[in-house]
Amino acid sequence: MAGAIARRASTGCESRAARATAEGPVLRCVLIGVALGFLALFLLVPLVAVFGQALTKGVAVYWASLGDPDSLSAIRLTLFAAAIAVPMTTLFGLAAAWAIGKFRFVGSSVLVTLVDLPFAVSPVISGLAFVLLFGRNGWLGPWLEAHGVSIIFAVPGIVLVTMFVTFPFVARELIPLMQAQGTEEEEAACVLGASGWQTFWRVTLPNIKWGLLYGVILCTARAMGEFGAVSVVSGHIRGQTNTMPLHVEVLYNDYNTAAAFAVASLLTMVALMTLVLKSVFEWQGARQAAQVEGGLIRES
Amino acid sequence: MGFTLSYLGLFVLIPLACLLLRSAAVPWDRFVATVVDPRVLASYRLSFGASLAGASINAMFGLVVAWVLVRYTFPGKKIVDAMVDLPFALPTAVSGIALTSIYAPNGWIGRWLDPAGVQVAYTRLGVVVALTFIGLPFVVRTLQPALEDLEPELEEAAVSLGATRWQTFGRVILPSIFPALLTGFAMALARGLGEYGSVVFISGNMPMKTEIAPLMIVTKLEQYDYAEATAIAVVMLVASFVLLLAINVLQWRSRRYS
Amino acid sequence: MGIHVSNISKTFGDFTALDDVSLSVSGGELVALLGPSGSGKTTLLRIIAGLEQPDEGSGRVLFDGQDVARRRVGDRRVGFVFQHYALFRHMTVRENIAFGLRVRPRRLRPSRAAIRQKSQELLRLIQLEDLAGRYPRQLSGGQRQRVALARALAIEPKVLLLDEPFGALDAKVRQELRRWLRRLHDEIHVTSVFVTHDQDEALELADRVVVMNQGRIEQVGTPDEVFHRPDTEFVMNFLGQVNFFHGRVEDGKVHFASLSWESPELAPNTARPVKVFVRPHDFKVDTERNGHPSFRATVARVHSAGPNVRLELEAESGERVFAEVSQERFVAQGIAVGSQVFVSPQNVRVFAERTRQRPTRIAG
Repeated sequence: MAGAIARRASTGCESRAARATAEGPVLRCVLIGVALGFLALFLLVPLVAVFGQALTKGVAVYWASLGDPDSLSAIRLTLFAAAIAVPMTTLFGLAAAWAIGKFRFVGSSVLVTLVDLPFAVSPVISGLAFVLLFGRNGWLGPWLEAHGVSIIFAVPGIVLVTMFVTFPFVARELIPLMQAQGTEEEEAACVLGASGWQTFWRVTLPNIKWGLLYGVILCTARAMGEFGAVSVVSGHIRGQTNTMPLHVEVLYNDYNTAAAFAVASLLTMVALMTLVLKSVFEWQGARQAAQVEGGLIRES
Repeated sequence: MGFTLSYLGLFVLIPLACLLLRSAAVPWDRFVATVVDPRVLASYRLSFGASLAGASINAMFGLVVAWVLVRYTFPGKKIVDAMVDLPFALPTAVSGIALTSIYAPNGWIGRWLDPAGVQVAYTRLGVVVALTFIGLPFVVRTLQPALEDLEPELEEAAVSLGATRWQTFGRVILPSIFPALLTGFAMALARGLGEYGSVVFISGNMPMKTEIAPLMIVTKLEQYDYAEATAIAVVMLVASFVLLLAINVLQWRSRRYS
Repeated sequence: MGIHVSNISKTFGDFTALDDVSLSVSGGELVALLGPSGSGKTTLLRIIAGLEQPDEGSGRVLFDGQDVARRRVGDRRVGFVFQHYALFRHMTVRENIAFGLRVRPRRLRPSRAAIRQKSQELLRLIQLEDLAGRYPRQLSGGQRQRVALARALAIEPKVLLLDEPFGALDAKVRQELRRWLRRLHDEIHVTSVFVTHDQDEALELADRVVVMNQGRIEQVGTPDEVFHRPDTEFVMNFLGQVNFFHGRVEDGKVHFASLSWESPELAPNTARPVKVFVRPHDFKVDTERNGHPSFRATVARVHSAGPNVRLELEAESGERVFAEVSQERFVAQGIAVGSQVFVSPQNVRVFAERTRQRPTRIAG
């Protein structure tokens, strides 16, 4: 018990150093230096480089690159794909987590593995699979052509592929969460007469809201930033089938470096926002879990 | 439940099944010819070798980073901790062009390394750098919970029995976190194998030298060589599958210890 | 090896764990640090081990007269046994035991053969030779704790420190290990200090008991002394059952529960309020007056399942009193619920009523 008090009350480096099992201060500083140096080299420098390169030609050129019609259409397409993929993935994630977390059935672990599948597959291979399915020589190719529907090298293909790669994100967050929370509250609601829908809205949803938000923003970031899979499927038609990451590639290969980095900087800001929100949601989620635990301990 | 399964089936299983079935339709000799083509073999070697190197670098430095984040406090630690996920959140194309611009001969770091004879951009070293960037969060995030779960009593016991700090680290701490380290390593490796966007800019894509396996697939596709693209993809899928299996086995074994 | 702790204080932030504590342990003794949670007993143990440091300038820890403040934990030759064993999960039982010998610097390290022999000796001592190749997760709690003990003994420590060693075990296993530890101590005579909140354990095992409360030592004495002659109200309350009465001292007598108790030790004092404590088994219960100072009471409840019969009595002064009588007496007297009985105390402890924490005993 005293050890626990000591650990809880320790503030900062000094009290930890006084403990019998800590490293000496010199070693500590060296380790901190190495860690921060490594992170600075690999994380900080690229981050700064994006903005630095974007502004090399000045702020006016920066804004001009963003206002360019091709850039704008790339932004629109990216947002469009995300606007479809994210809600669908969220719905699926909720349904899958609900099914796996709240019910017992044979093959639930298989289901979990399947959900993780897009995670393990290279994005290029994901794109390839869709080309093989919907492309002109694909399984459904002839049928689609006959009906005048083009998926590959057109917007629908981009949306579908985005849905594929973001598929696991919400589910992966929610499944362990729902499994850990168990079914007691939902059972209680049922016994009290709530319908399935009501149970979901009023009982399940509030409990998972932070995990859900966390999964949604990760999903959004991935949806906007996906490159490999979309690249295979899109056809790179400027102004039509280029998402923001693809447009960055096009600009960069054209040696239009400043413009490429300008668009890249937008994506980077989305990524940074993702990190900030992620921390906030994680913290809130942990706080909620602690409160629940604390309440239970007080009651028992 | 029904919604779950149909969505799953529609968006995940069918495309993948299509891929596998189409690959089965490829004539065997063409399959083999594609897969053992020297240029393709070189791309496997590069993808695998560079991923291995990147994952190893991450294993070493990631351990230091995780240790520092779990055990020490310093100003700005929370920000640093959040930043570890940057490679995860940043679009691969953005990291690709950023890394290239830094390590190019006239780049911020490249201009110091180039005169010294160390070329990073457009070489295999550049591929390693990119894959190190990509794999960074995996090792750190797997190690952090393992380090946090380490009971202080174990270290106190070791020290009361006369062990020095280094002995405690090597004989008690490291063996305890080794499963997590291995898992993080394998995850970084798996991610590196399939990585495309962040590598394809810095690698220079020179045939037989700096082409990665996913690039081979894209190249074949651009030539409408669907069969060959599929063949290469299947080999990569098998490799990923084996790795995934290994990761799961590792995680299962580490759970057995406690 | 003797341990001498003088004037040790330790605070964690706002919390005072130890307040000017001094203690002496003679070589070869088995001493118990007994007290409730937060009493500072574990902190004291850890300071002796060197796992915590006392507050700056606050006191000394001496091993055989030598100040060990400068010495690291590893140099103090203490064997520490943790409540949750802290066995190294990835090492076998034998490897765990040999650990302390293997990590010695080269010039002090025994040969591989010597280490093996020593491990084997210890395995024999703890009677786990068959399990030498097993891993901790394959052992029961009691077995794990024995391994932890052997591991601590392997380095031939000058003092053995045990932090609630049996706290994580089932009641039956706890009892077995208690006796085993006592036998072990009688065999090897290493100075031992153990921390416990279980008074039965402390009273059964220790040569001397140190009762602690809120960072201070309340009393140090043999089990007999602390149980039958408690120095403070806290010790009386903490060890065993006790009945508590408010009373008054006047003219050499203690008045409580509508009776008067002669107390020759009471110097002619001014009349003042006191606290009176009587243990349940120190009450004599009769169905008729017996000539001793007694008060009347009605039997409210009878608990006869156990070695003795416990009675819940309602005294005529309104207090609820617990008495303990032997089974024979209970039957012989024909006591039942509702019976009118006369209760006379045989042994009484009186403490001055004070607002400060430590009332002093004045009679009994």
